[in-house]
Amino acid sequence: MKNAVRRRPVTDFFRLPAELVPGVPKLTLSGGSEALIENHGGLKSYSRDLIEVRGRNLLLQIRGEDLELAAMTKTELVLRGIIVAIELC
Amino acid sequence: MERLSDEVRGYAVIKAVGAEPTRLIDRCADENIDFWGVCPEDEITFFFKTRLKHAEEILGFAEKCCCEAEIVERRGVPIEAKKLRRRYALLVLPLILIFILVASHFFIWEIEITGNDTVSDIEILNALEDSGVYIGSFWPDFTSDSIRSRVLVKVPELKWLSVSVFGSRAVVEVRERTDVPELFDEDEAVKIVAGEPGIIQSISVLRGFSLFKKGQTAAESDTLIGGAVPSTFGETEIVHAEGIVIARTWYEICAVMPLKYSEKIYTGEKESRFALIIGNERINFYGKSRISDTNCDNIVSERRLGIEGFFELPVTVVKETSESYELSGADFTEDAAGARLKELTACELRRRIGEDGEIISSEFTFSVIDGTAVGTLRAECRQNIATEKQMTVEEINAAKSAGEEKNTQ
Repeated sequence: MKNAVRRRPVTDFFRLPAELVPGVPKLTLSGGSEALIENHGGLKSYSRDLIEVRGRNLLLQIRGEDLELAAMTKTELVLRGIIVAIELC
Repeated sequence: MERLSDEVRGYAVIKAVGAEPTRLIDRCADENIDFWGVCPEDEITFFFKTRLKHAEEILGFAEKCCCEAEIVERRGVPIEAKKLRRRYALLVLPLILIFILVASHFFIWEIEITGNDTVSDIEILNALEDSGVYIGSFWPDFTSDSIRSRVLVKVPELKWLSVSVFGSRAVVEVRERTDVPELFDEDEAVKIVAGEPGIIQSISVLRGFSLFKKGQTAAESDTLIGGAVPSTFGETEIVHAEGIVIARTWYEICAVMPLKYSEKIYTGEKESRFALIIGNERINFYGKSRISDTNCDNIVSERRLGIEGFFELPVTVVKETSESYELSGADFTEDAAGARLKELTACELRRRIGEDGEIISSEFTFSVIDGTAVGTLRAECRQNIATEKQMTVEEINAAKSAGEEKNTQ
């Protein structure tokens, strides 16, 4: 239901790629075992089965097993483990 | 590889406790501080690792992130090195070892001898030791020329020698004198006699005068081919007789053995003692500890320290083990005794007939007489019975005078 509340980005109106907007979180999934999140806003929670990562206007919930924070810098974050679901809130 | 790098560079384990410990992790990422191995213990407690230099900095951030942080552990090479900083003996010891290694390079710790067949290693080593080359000798003091001249005088069987030093290993290369081959003297007074009695099957005379014919029986030591060759016109010629005499021979070889024998039964009592041989010096790590009973096996094993095929130290560990036993009577079975005697007699027969000899037929009989096994091998063989024998002066004179008489008549 929250998705309905979220506003459509301006780039969508002009039919441009979404990543042109600075600071938009970008999620790259490599198979089901590694996820790269660029332009993150930090961790909200961290456990073996759920990692919550803040984005600009959203929260990414990554569910899985044996999740692990492999690397983290100011802009990028790499998660490893068995990724089961990714949810945007 | 990463773990090895972490160990070498050192790391600290941080424990963060708070309502939102992830804020501390976010802060570390913001400040470009390396961290890894984030491990949540529960919802409010995290453990993670970071570089030693950042550990204190992270503790400073903790308060601002509304959590408590503490350094649980510091690990790695820098920490271990710090612990050993005041242990001066450990610093001095490598220096001493390096000094010993460098100094030992100037001494001979191994001597390798090559090129000798008849002269034994021990003989050469003794001569080398008298010339100043031995385990533990200072090699810059000697030269190959001086050693060569000394050793060649002491060991006349050698005609040339060189000493090359590779590190602490002396390679001694020798060349032995080659003996002048024995020349066949055609004028030497030699006759061919029968080495074994037998019936002659064939006689081939290469040089000399045949005294037997095919089918005749020759007793042992009978002259088969004479060294004196009579001449119709001149004097009797004395030659080195040569020839092959093939004859049928018969053998009866008897062997006996007792059926009872003593067998060793180990009691389980075992004692070991150790010694160390450094260079030529032996250090015993024992007093007189040894099983005093005379019925014991002593096994001496020596192990040279070093890496096989790479280098060896002049240090040998000697282990002497004494294992006590008791003698107990046991019996051979008749079959076993028979087989053993058969093997022994066959071996003896083979030795007597020589390599070229041929066994035509053989029969082995076995019996037990008063607790003693008796085996008899009877065999008919075919062999060369020709054996060279020097002629005596009397024989030569007799042959010559007989020749002169014949010519006179």
